[in-house]
Amino acid sequence: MQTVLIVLVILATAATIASGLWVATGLIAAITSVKPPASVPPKAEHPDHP
Amino acid sequence: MHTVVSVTLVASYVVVLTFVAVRARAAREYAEFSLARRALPLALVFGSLCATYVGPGFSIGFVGKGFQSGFLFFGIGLAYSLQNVLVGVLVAPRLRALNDCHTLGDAIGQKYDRRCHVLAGVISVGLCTGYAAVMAKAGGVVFKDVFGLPLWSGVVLIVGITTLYTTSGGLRASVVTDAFQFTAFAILLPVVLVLALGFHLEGGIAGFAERAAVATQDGLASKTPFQIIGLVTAFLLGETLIPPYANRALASRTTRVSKHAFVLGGLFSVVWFAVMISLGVAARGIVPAGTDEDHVLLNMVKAIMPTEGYMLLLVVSISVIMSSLDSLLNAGAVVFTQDIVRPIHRLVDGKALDVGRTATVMIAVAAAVAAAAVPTIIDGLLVCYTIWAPAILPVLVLGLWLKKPRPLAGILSMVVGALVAGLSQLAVGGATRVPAILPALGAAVLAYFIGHLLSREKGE
Repeated sequence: MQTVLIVLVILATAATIASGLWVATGLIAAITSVKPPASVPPKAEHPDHP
Repeated sequence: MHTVVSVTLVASYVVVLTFVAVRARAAREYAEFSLARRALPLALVFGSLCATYVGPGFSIGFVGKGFQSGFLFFGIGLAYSLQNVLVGVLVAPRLRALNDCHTLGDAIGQKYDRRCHVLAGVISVGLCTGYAAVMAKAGGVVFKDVFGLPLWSGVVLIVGITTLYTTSGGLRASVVTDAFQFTAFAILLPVVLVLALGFHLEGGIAGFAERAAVATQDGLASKTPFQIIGLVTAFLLGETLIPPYANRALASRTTRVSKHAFVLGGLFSVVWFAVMISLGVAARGIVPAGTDEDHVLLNMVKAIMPTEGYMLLLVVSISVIMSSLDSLLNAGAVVFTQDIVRPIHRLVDGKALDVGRTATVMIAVAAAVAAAAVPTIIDGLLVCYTIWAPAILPVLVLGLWLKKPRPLAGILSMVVGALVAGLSQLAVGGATRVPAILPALGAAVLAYFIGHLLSREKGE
């Protein structure tokens, strides 16, 4: 019973740290892929004769 | 030497946080400020969701509960985990599938009418301010304990910094900084547990198991079955889809991301609670008996780690608090703009962004002022839970599932739920406050069905 308890606690600890690392990789991907906002293209002129 | 390393640690944290916040960019449009263009990936939604719910209550508070009552609160906390999984499976995808929806109020407005929309907005802004006041108070307490600063100056400091980046970057800044803060505390707090179990555990594994058993029995003996039922109900329903969670469900890239983020968030809470409660149990051999619950974690770290470790914990505690506070400020501001101002005045996108930014500052100021009236962290959260669940949940869930929800039912349920929750707390007071959620929920559901039947008879 004691061993089961401590093993569960260790597994929970490992899972928590793994979650932190997973989110860290997602965060790095997100902040390195930020692109400057695309500039708005000038409105196309309406052709007189479509 | 210790001071140099400590200052370097804190300075590095501030530099990295600033870098992350700057990379998140200032929001240029309202759609970016409110929903981050509905393009958030799974890892960010999951990290931000977990960082938002792991506030001081689920970290400092849970360590204190583990210290006082062993694994009792782990069992109670599982109700919260179940709630997240159920929201992920049943509600979040339906919410995300609604078009042109920025908030829960929008969803309620689409299902009922404009009056319900505005009323849900007023309740949501009030609750976001209340939750933010609890976070502000917790921040003030951390600064007071560590640096001996007066409570008010700690509150001003933490609210000021958080308001700065939330006002500028909106939801994306909140989510990205949350992910950074989540990474910090999801790695550092388990490391504290490993150190406590590995090097400071008197009696080894047997000693830990014995302390856990004794504390859990003490905890069970200190609560009546009715109180435990009230606590389980509060954890099951109290934080369900509060505005920051709803924002994250709505801002997810797809309905699938929304569903998976909530389900994974629920599963993460199981392991997180296990770690926090274990820290509290381990502290029983390290911190003197009778230590105040909210100070157990700080005192344990002070006892087992060098000064640098203590500083690191300060960083972690501030991360925990700021990641919840920024989400609440952003959610409150978006709700104010979308659910209270927009249904009454037509706002163009640029104006809506200005209103959102102004509302962020207003809610932050109100939360800082209200922080003085907050009792303990857990008590403050429970007051908010008790009002949120009855006032909003029946209307939202029934609205999403019923074919033709009636506006009268929505209004009656929200008003009766909020009033009964408020009055029950005033009437029964401190010790028996938790179960107030039960009569209030019952009254809200009853009021909903009365309103539904009356409307049907009138043929509305």
